[in-house]
Amino acid sequence: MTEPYESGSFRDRNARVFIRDGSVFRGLNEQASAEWDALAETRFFDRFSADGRLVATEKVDPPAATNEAERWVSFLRHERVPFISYPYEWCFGMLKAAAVLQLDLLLAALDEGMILKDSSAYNVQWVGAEPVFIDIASFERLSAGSPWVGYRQFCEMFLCPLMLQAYKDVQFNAWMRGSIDGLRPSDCYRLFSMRDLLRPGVLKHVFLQAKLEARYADTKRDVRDDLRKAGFGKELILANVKGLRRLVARMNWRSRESEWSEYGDCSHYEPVDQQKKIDFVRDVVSMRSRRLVWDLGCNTGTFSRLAAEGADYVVAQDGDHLVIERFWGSLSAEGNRKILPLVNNLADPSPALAWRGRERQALEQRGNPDLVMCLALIHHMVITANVPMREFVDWLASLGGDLIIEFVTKDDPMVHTLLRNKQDNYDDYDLEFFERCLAESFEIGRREPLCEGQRIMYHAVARR
Amino acid sequence: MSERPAHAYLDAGTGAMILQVLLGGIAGVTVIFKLYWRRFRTLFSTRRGEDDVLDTSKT
Repeated sequence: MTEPYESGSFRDRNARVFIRDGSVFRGLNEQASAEWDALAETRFFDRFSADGRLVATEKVDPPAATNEAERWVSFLRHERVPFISYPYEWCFGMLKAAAVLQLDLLLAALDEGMILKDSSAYNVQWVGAEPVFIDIASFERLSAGSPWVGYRQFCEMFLCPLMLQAYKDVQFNAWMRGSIDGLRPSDCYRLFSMRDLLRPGVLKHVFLQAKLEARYADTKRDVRDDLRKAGFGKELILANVKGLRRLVARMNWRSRESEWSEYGDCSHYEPVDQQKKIDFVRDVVSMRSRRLVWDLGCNTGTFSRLAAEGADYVVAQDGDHLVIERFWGSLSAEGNRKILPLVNNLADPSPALAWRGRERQALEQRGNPDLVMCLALIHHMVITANVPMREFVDWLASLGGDLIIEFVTKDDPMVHTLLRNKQDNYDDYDLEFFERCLAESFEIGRREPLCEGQRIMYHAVARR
Repeated sequence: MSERPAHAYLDAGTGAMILQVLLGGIAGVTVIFKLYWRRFRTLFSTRRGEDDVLDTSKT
């Protein structure tokens, strides 16, 4: 029986990833094995592995009872990333940090005669707020006279999306989700104005690249061969990579505020209610071992941090990019490895994408949470996003874990605000109906009113 | 460094490769000169030479 391969691992024919017994293996063919041997001997490999920027990797014997030994010459085993995420779920700072990691690895590799053969943003994953490069098979020995093959992809996957947000204040998420290969310099150029040509890096990496790409699109020559004969050398690659490193490090997204950036977690609670809410969450989290917690609508992350005290890993999600940007910024500053913040609109969560709709997994396919926290969120889902109450509760149930949910009644001032410009057709937004929906899929464990009954906390246990 | 042809699966993009020469600083100037040198020579050659890499006429 052939090993089921990781559905996202197929573009490079020299190596394939598969999961077996909860471990991540990579089969290498002869060429990839030779590259691995060279990589394992470098100093930078040890250095980056030691501080966690390269995924922990070791060569292993063929996994038991697999016929893959016939196909692959050698095998690697990688440490598993706690939760897979994709560039279209990252905030600006995360994509920038991933780009910087890619460039730092390139510089270190070039210094020891190696290079990265591609520059896909999907080669970077996260442990909490820390980036980790996972595509070990992407390293290869540098061929004399060869240009940096991954330069164009670096622009498509990293540089242009970052520029779109830094220079035009347009968030890159929708584009990255819609275009599997990223944002091409030619499209980026069309999105920019004459004024943008003066911004750092645009003339070189966007305008010139777009023009040259168009001009040489039909050439039939083997340009790589010509460059090699003309003496193309490592110094040219180094000059370019160093320039990009300086450029990316300087790029910033200046956004002063967004719809939810000034909301905060605490603005609507009296201290005594806030404390009751904190205690409730803390008690429920610590009731049993929680391998994975999802905090939906995490905002500033107060409750994500609370959950992380008692859980192994927390995936904090919010539809507001700026909110996640700030949260990630503070997590990154402290080197947090337990909380992964993601930009995700729950009314439109990341779907399965790309080749056969399996190359990139839907959010719900990447690991079921043991506990889902849905605090001060349901009114936004039902009233603002117009998701039917029952369907939202069903979706929460489908995630398979226990639930902490805070119901915000129609007496609450926030709900009044949400309804102010709408006709109140939300018959299903009713406490009794909510409790019935909840009871259909869960056992209601504990119920505690806050704010004089305007908000009610529930602990709901999944029916097993 | 070895002299093997790189078997990368990724299409580097012709324009992108040429751009790297232009972005390569002083070292790039030498390469540009060498790329153009052939074109310069074929102008004076009586043989029908191969078209130069920077010749964009469609063949």
